[in-house]
Amino acid sequence: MIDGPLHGYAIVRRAAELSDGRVRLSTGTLYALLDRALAESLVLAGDPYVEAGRQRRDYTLTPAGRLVLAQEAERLARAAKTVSGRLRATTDVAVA
Amino acid sequence: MIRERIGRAMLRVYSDDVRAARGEEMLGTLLEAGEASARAFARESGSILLAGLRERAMLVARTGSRRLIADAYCQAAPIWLLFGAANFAAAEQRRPWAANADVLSLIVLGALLLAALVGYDRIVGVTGMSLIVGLGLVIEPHAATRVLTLAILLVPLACCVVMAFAPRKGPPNPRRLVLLVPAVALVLLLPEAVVRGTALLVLVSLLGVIRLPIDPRLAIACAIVWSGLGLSDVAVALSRADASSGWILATAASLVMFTIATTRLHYMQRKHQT
Repeated sequence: MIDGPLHGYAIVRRAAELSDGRVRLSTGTLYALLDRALAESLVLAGDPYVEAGRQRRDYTLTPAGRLVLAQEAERLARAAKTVSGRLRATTDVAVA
Repeated sequence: MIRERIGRAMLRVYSDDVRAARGEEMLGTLLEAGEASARAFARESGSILLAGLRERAMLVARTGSRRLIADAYCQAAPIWLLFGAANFAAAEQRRPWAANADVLSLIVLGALLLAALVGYDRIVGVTGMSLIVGLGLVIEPHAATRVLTLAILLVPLACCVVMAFAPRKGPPNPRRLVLLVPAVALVLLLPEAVVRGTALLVLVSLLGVIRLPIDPRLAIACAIVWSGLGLSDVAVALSRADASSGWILATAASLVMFTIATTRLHYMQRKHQT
Protein backbone atom coordinates (compact mmCIF):
# COMPACT_ATOMS: atom_id res chain seq x y z
CA MET A 1 0.00 0.00 0.00
CA ILE A 2 3.07 2.29 0.12
CA ASP A 3 2.80 2.79 -3.65
CA GLY A 4 -0.93 3.44 -3.63
CA PRO A 5 -4.33 1.91 -2.84
CA LEU A 6 -4.67 -1.87 -3.25
CA HIS A 7 -7.59 -4.27 -2.95
CA GLY A 8 -7.46 -7.42 -0.78
CA TYR A 9 -6.08 -9.91 -3.29
CA ALA A 10 -3.68 -7.30 -4.71
CA ILE A 11 -2.20 -6.92 -1.20
CA VAL A 12 -1.68 -10.71 -1.03
CA ARG A 13 0.05 -10.68 -4.46
CA ARG A 14 2.18 -7.64 -3.64
CA ALA A 15 3.38 -9.18 -0.36
CA ALA A 16 4.38 -12.35 -2.25
CA GLU A 17 6.16 -10.34 -5.01
CA LEU A 18 8.12 -8.12 -2.61
CA SER A 19 9.25 -11.08 -0.50
CA ASP A 20 10.10 -13.36 -3.45
CA GLY A 21 7.27 -15.66 -2.44
CA ARG A 22 8.39 -16.02 1.18
CA VAL A 23 5.42 -14.11 2.65
CA ARG A 24 2.16 -15.82 1.81
CA LEU A 25 -0.71 -13.91 3.40
CA SER A 26 -3.80 -16.07 3.75
CA THR A 27 -7.24 -14.50 3.27
CA GLY A 28 -8.18 -14.93 6.93
CA THR A 29 -4.93 -13.38 8.19
CA LEU A 30 -5.18 -10.54 5.66
CA TYR A 31 -8.61 -9.41 6.82
CA ALA A 32 -7.71 -9.82 10.51
CA LEU A 33 -4.70 -7.53 9.93
CA LEU A 34 -6.76 -5.08 7.90
CA ASP A 35 -9.35 -4.97 10.70
CA ARG A 36 -6.69 -4.04 13.23
CA ALA A 37 -5.13 -1.47 10.91
CA LEU A 38 -8.57 0.05 10.22
CA ALA A 39 -9.39 0.17 13.94
CA GLU A 40 -6.11 2.02 14.59
CA SER A 41 -6.73 4.35 11.62
CA LEU A 42 -3.51 3.20 9.94
CA VAL A 43 -5.45 2.23 6.82
CA LEU A 44 -8.52 3.68 5.13
CA ALA A 45 -11.08 1.49 3.33
CA GLY A 46 -12.59 2.80 0.11
CA ASP A 47 -16.09 2.17 -1.19
CA PRO A 48 -16.83 -1.31 -2.52
CA TYR A 49 -16.89 -1.83 -6.29
CA VAL A 50 -17.28 -4.79 -8.64
CA GLU A 51 -14.43 -5.88 -10.90
CA ALA A 52 -14.38 -9.08 -12.95
CA GLY A 53 -17.58 -10.15 -11.20
CA ARG A 54 -16.03 -9.86 -7.75
CA GLN A 55 -16.62 -7.30 -5.09
CA ARG A 56 -13.52 -5.39 -4.14
CA ARG A 57 -12.53 -2.50 -1.92
CA ASP A 58 -9.31 -0.51 -2.07
CA TYR A 59 -7.26 0.09 1.06
CA THR A 60 -5.06 3.17 1.41
CA LEU A 61 -2.29 3.85 3.89
CA THR A 62 -3.13 6.91 6.00
CA PRO A 63 -0.44 9.49 7.00
CA ALA A 64 -0.51 7.93 10.50
CA GLY A 65 -0.06 4.47 8.93
CA ARG A 66 2.87 5.72 6.84
CA LEU A 67 4.49 7.17 9.95
CA VAL A 68 4.08 3.92 11.93
CA LEU A 69 5.46 1.98 8.96
CA ALA A 70 8.50 4.29 8.73
CA GLN A 71 9.15 3.96 12.47
CA GLU A 72 8.83 0.16 12.28
CA ALA A 73 11.19 -0.01 9.28
CA GLU A 74 13.69 2.17 11.17
CA ARG A 75 13.43 -0.03 14.28
CA LEU A 76 14.00 -3.19 12.22
CA ALA A 77 16.94 -1.56 10.40
CA ARG A 78 18.49 -0.60 13.75
CA ALA A 79 17.98 -4.12 15.10
CA ALA A 80 19.51 -5.62 11.95
CA LYS A 81 22.47 -3.23 12.21
CA THR A 82 23.05 -4.15 15.86
CA VAL A 83 22.93 -7.89 15.11
CA SER A 84 25.22 -7.51 12.06
CA GLY A 85 27.66 -5.44 14.14
CA ARG A 86 27.76 -8.06 16.90
CA LEU A 87 28.22 -10.85 14.37
CA ARG A 88 31.13 -9.02 12.72
CA ALA A 89 32.77 -8.28 16.07
CA THR A 90 32.53 -11.88 17.28
CA THR A 91 33.71 -13.21 13.88
CA ASP A 92 36.82 -10.95 14.08
CA VAL A 93 37.56 -12.23 17.60
CA ALA A 94 37.08 -15.85 16.49
CA VAL A 95 39.38 -15.39 13.46
CA ALA A 96 42.05 -13.65 15.59
CA MET B 1 -19.86 -22.65 -8.04
CA ILE B 2 -19.11 -25.36 -5.47
CA ARG B 3 -16.14 -23.34 -4.23
CA GLU B 4 -18.34 -20.29 -3.88
CA ARG B 5 -20.79 -22.30 -1.77
CA ILE B 6 -18.00 -23.68 0.40
CA GLY B 7 -16.60 -20.16 0.77
CA ARG B 8 -19.98 -18.80 1.82
CA ALA B 9 -20.37 -21.65 4.32
CA MET B 10 -16.94 -20.85 5.80
CA LEU B 11 -17.82 -17.17 6.07
CA ARG B 12 -20.78 -18.05 8.26
CA VAL B 13 -18.28 -18.46 11.09
CA TYR B 14 -17.95 -14.67 11.17
CA SER B 15 -20.48 -12.53 13.01
CA ASP B 16 -23.44 -11.12 11.05
CA ASP B 17 -21.95 -7.61 11.23
CA VAL B 18 -18.67 -8.64 9.61
CA ARG B 19 -20.45 -10.68 6.94
CA ALA B 20 -22.76 -7.79 6.08
CA ALA B 21 -19.88 -5.30 5.94
CA ARG B 22 -17.38 -7.27 3.87
CA GLY B 23 -18.56 -10.85 3.35
CA GLU B 24 -18.76 -10.52 -0.45
CA GLU B 25 -15.36 -8.86 -0.61
CA MET B 26 -13.76 -11.60 1.50
CA LEU B 27 -15.42 -14.25 -0.64
CA GLY B 28 -13.95 -12.64 -3.79
CA THR B 29 -10.46 -12.59 -2.25
CA LEU B 30 -10.83 -16.18 -1.03
CA LEU B 31 -11.84 -17.42 -4.49
CA GLU B 32 -9.00 -15.53 -6.21
CA ALA B 33 -6.37 -16.59 -3.68
CA GLY B 34 -7.50 -20.20 -3.88
CA GLU B 35 -8.06 -20.55 -7.60
CA ALA B 36 -4.59 -22.02 -8.31
CA SER B 37 -5.43 -25.46 -6.93
CA ALA B 38 -7.78 -27.40 -4.68
CA ARG B 39 -5.06 -27.42 -2.03
CA ALA B 40 -4.70 -23.64 -2.16
CA PHE B 41 -8.47 -23.27 -1.86
CA ALA B 42 -8.55 -25.63 1.12
CA ARG B 43 -5.75 -23.66 2.78
CA GLU B 44 -7.52 -20.34 2.19
CA SER B 45 -10.86 -21.72 3.41
CA GLY B 46 -9.14 -23.02 6.55
CA SER B 47 -7.63 -19.59 7.18
CA ILE B 48 -11.08 -17.98 6.86
CA LEU B 49 -12.48 -20.52 9.34
CA LEU B 50 -9.74 -19.89 11.91
CA ALA B 51 -9.88 -16.12 11.53
CA GLY B 52 -13.68 -16.22 11.91
CA LEU B 53 -13.39 -18.27 15.10
CA ARG B 54 -10.80 -15.83 16.43
CA GLU B 55 -13.13 -12.94 15.62
CA ARG B 56 -15.97 -14.65 17.53
CA ALA B 57 -13.69 -15.27 20.51
CA MET B 58 -12.66 -11.61 20.47
CA LEU B 59 -16.31 -10.50 20.48
CA VAL B 60 -16.94 -12.70 23.53
CA ALA B 61 -13.78 -11.40 25.27
CA ARG B 62 -14.95 -7.83 24.62
CA THR B 63 -18.30 -8.49 26.32
CA GLY B 64 -18.37 -7.73 30.04
CA SER B 65 -18.29 -10.61 32.54
CA ARG B 66 -21.71 -9.70 33.98
CA ARG B 67 -23.37 -9.88 30.56
CA LEU B 68 -21.65 -13.19 29.82
CA ILE B 69 -22.82 -14.72 33.11
CA ALA B 70 -26.36 -13.41 32.48
CA ASP B 71 -26.24 -14.94 28.98
CA ALA B 72 -25.12 -18.24 30.53
CA TYR B 73 -28.13 -18.19 32.90
CA CYS B 74 -30.40 -17.52 29.89
CA GLN B 75 -28.79 -20.44 28.03
CA ALA B 76 -29.12 -22.67 31.09
CA ALA B 77 -32.93 -22.35 31.01
CA PRO B 78 -33.51 -24.24 27.72
CA ILE B 79 -30.93 -26.85 28.79
CA TRP B 80 -32.79 -27.30 32.07
CA LEU B 81 -36.13 -27.50 30.26
CA LEU B 82 -34.69 -30.01 27.79
CA PHE B 83 -33.39 -32.07 30.69
CA GLY B 84 -36.80 -31.90 32.39
CA ALA B 85 -38.75 -32.65 29.20
CA ALA B 86 -36.57 -35.68 28.40
CA ASN B 87 -36.99 -37.15 31.88
CA PHE B 88 -40.68 -36.27 31.95
CA ALA B 89 -41.30 -37.85 28.54
CA ALA B 90 -39.40 -40.97 29.59
CA ALA B 91 -41.47 -41.23 32.79
CA GLU B 92 -44.72 -40.76 30.86
CA GLN B 93 -43.60 -43.41 28.36
CA ARG B 94 -43.37 -45.94 31.15
CA ARG B 95 -47.00 -45.58 32.19
CA PRO B 96 -50.14 -45.80 30.06
CA TRP B 97 -51.24 -42.38 28.78
CA ALA B 98 -54.90 -42.97 29.48
CA ALA B 99 -54.18 -43.71 33.14
CA ASN B 100 -52.43 -40.66 34.46
CA ALA B 101 -50.84 -38.62 31.72
CA ASP B 102 -50.09 -35.05 32.72
CA VAL B 103 -50.68 -33.59 29.26
CA LEU B 104 -50.97 -29.99 30.46
CA SER B 105 -47.58 -30.06 32.21
CA LEU B 106 -45.95 -31.53 29.12
CA ILE B 107 -47.51 -28.85 26.88
CA VAL B 108 -46.38 -26.02 29.21
CA LEU B 109 -42.88 -27.53 29.46
CA GLY B 110 -42.70 -27.94 25.67
CA ALA B 111 -43.94 -24.39 24.98
CA LEU B 112 -41.43 -22.90 27.44
CA LEU B 113 -38.64 -24.98 25.90
CA LEU B 114 -39.47 -23.77 22.37
CA ALA B 115 -39.74 -20.13 23.49
CA ALA B 116 -36.45 -20.35 25.45
CA LEU B 117 -34.65 -21.93 22.50
CA VAL B 118 -35.87 -19.25 20.08
CA GLY B 119 -34.88 -16.51 22.55
CA TYR B 120 -38.10 -15.07 23.97
CA ASP B 121 -36.28 -14.61 27.25
CA ARG B 122 -38.60 -12.14 28.98
CA ILE B 123 -41.71 -14.25 28.25
CA VAL B 124 -40.02 -17.44 29.49
CA GLY B 125 -38.58 -15.66 32.52
CA VAL B 126 -41.87 -14.14 33.66
CA THR B 127 -43.89 -17.31 32.93
CA GLY B 128 -41.29 -19.52 34.63
CA MET B 129 -41.13 -17.27 37.70
CA SER B 130 -44.93 -17.27 38.00
CA LEU B 131 -45.12 -21.06 37.66
CA ILE B 132 -42.30 -21.76 40.10
CA VAL B 133 -43.49 -19.33 42.75
CA GLY B 134 -47.18 -20.08 42.20
CA LEU B 135 -47.20 -23.83 41.79
CA GLY B 136 -43.99 -24.76 43.51
CA LEU B 137 -44.02 -22.66 46.63
CA VAL B 138 -47.44 -21.19 47.37
CA ILE B 139 -49.60 -24.18 46.48
CA GLU B 140 -47.17 -26.67 48.07
CA PRO B 141 -49.07 -27.52 51.27
CA HIS B 142 -46.46 -28.93 53.61
CA ALA B 143 -43.75 -26.77 55.13
CA ALA B 144 -41.21 -29.64 55.10
CA THR B 145 -41.66 -30.40 51.42
CA ARG B 146 -41.76 -26.66 50.64
CA VAL B 147 -38.07 -26.41 51.64
CA LEU B 148 -37.29 -29.40 49.44
CA THR B 149 -39.22 -27.84 46.54
CA LEU B 150 -37.40 -24.55 47.06
CA ALA B 151 -34.01 -26.31 46.92
CA ILE B 152 -35.01 -28.15 43.74
CA LEU B 153 -36.34 -25.03 42.06
CA LEU B 154 -33.75 -22.51 43.27
CA VAL B 155 -31.49 -22.61 40.21
CA PRO B 156 -34.35 -22.70 37.65
CA LEU B 157 -35.86 -19.74 39.53
CA ALA B 158 -32.53 -17.87 39.27
CA CYS B 159 -32.50 -18.58 35.50
CA CYS B 160 -36.05 -17.20 35.17
CA VAL B 161 -35.21 -14.06 37.16
CA VAL B 162 -32.16 -13.36 34.96
CA MET B 163 -34.20 -14.04 31.79
CA ALA B 164 -36.94 -11.65 32.94
CA PHE B 165 -34.67 -8.80 34.02
CA ALA B 166 -31.51 -9.23 31.91
CA PRO B 167 -32.56 -11.05 28.72
CA ARG B 168 -30.07 -11.83 25.96
CA LYS B 169 -29.49 -9.13 23.37
CA GLY B 170 -30.31 -9.69 19.74
CA PRO B 171 -33.49 -10.74 17.96
CA PRO B 172 -35.15 -14.16 18.53
CA ASN B 173 -33.72 -16.84 16.25
CA PRO B 174 -36.15 -19.63 15.22
CA ARG B 175 -33.26 -21.50 13.54
CA ARG B 176 -32.17 -22.62 17.02
CA LEU B 177 -35.16 -24.99 17.00
CA VAL B 178 -33.05 -27.26 14.76
CA LEU B 179 -31.13 -28.16 17.94
CA LEU B 180 -34.19 -30.14 19.01
CA VAL B 181 -33.68 -32.67 16.19
CA PRO B 182 -30.51 -34.32 17.59
CA ALA B 183 -31.92 -34.01 21.14
CA VAL B 184 -35.17 -35.81 20.25
CA ALA B 185 -33.25 -38.39 18.19
CA LEU B 186 -30.99 -39.11 21.14
CA VAL B 187 -33.93 -39.46 23.53
CA LEU B 188 -35.65 -41.89 21.15
CA LEU B 189 -32.52 -43.92 20.43
CA LEU B 190 -31.27 -44.33 23.99
CA PRO B 191 -32.12 -47.58 25.77
CA GLU B 192 -34.70 -47.28 28.55
CA ALA B 193 -32.18 -48.07 31.27
CA VAL B 194 -30.31 -44.83 30.57
CA VAL B 195 -31.54 -41.66 32.30
CA ARG B 196 -32.44 -39.60 29.21
CA GLY B 197 -32.14 -36.13 30.74
CA THR B 198 -28.73 -36.84 32.26
CA ALA B 199 -27.46 -38.33 28.97
CA LEU B 200 -28.60 -35.17 27.15
CA LEU B 201 -26.97 -32.96 29.76
CA VAL B 202 -23.68 -34.87 29.42
CA LEU B 203 -23.85 -34.39 25.65
CA VAL B 204 -24.60 -30.66 25.89
CA SER B 205 -21.77 -30.32 28.44
CA LEU B 206 -19.40 -31.95 25.95
CA LEU B 207 -20.54 -29.42 23.34
CA GLY B 208 -19.90 -26.69 25.90
CA VAL B 209 -16.34 -27.96 26.39
CA ILE B 210 -15.81 -28.10 22.59
CA ARG B 211 -17.02 -24.50 22.29
CA LEU B 212 -14.77 -23.31 25.13
CA PRO B 213 -12.00 -21.88 22.91
CA ILE B 214 -14.49 -19.53 21.23
CA ASP B 215 -17.25 -19.02 23.77
CA PRO B 216 -17.36 -20.32 27.37
CA ARG B 217 -21.03 -19.37 27.90
CA LEU B 218 -22.46 -22.80 27.07
CA ALA B 219 -20.02 -24.47 29.49
CA ILE B 220 -21.04 -22.01 32.23
CA ALA B 221 -24.71 -22.68 31.42
CA CYS B 222 -24.11 -26.42 31.82
CA ALA B 223 -22.28 -25.80 35.11
CA ILE B 224 -25.34 -23.87 36.33
CA VAL B 225 -27.64 -26.79 35.44
CA TRP B 226 -25.28 -29.31 37.08
CA SER B 227 -25.17 -27.16 40.24
CA GLY B 228 -28.99 -27.08 40.29
CA LEU B 229 -29.10 -30.87 39.97
CA GLY B 230 -26.52 -31.23 42.75
CA LEU B 231 -28.56 -28.96 45.01
CA SER B 232 -31.82 -30.80 44.36
CA ASP B 233 -30.10 -34.19 44.85
CA VAL B 234 -28.73 -33.01 48.20
CA ALA B 235 -32.22 -31.85 49.23
CA VAL B 236 -33.79 -35.16 48.19
CA ALA B 237 -31.05 -37.18 49.91
CA LEU B 238 -31.48 -35.20 53.15
CA SER B 239 -35.25 -35.44 53.10
CA ARG B 240 -35.17 -39.20 52.60
CA ALA B 241 -32.02 -39.71 54.68
CA ASP B 242 -30.63 -42.06 52.05
CA ALA B 243 -27.04 -42.13 50.86
CA SER B 244 -27.53 -41.28 47.19
CA SER B 245 -24.25 -40.29 45.57
CA GLY B 246 -25.89 -38.45 42.65
CA TRP B 247 -25.30 -35.05 44.25
CA ILE B 248 -21.55 -35.72 44.49
CA LEU B 249 -21.32 -36.39 40.74
CA ALA B 250 -23.52 -33.43 39.81
CA THR B 251 -21.66 -31.04 42.13
CA ALA B 252 -18.28 -32.31 40.90
CA ALA B 253 -19.39 -31.83 37.27
CA SER B 254 -20.61 -28.33 38.10
CA LEU B 255 -17.35 -27.35 39.83
CA VAL B 256 -15.17 -28.75 37.04
CA MET B 257 -17.19 -26.97 34.34
CA PHE B 258 -17.31 -23.67 36.27
CA THR B 259 -13.56 -23.80 36.82
CA ILE B 260 -12.53 -24.55 33.24
CA ALA B 261 -15.08 -22.13 31.75
CA THR B 262 -14.19 -19.18 33.99
CA THR B 263 -10.46 -19.88 33.60
CA ARG B 264 -10.87 -19.82 29.83
CA LEU B 265 -12.98 -16.65 30.02
CA HIS B 266 -10.36 -14.84 32.12
CA TYR B 267 -7.63 -15.94 29.71
CA MET B 268 -9.62 -14.65 26.72
CA GLN B 269 -10.29 -11.33 28.44
CA ARG B 270 -6.61 -10.92 29.43
CA LYS B 271 -5.47 -11.77 25.90
CA HIS B 272 -7.91 -9.25 24.45
CA GLN B 273 -6.63 -6.50 26.74
CA THR B 274 -2.97 -7.02 25.73
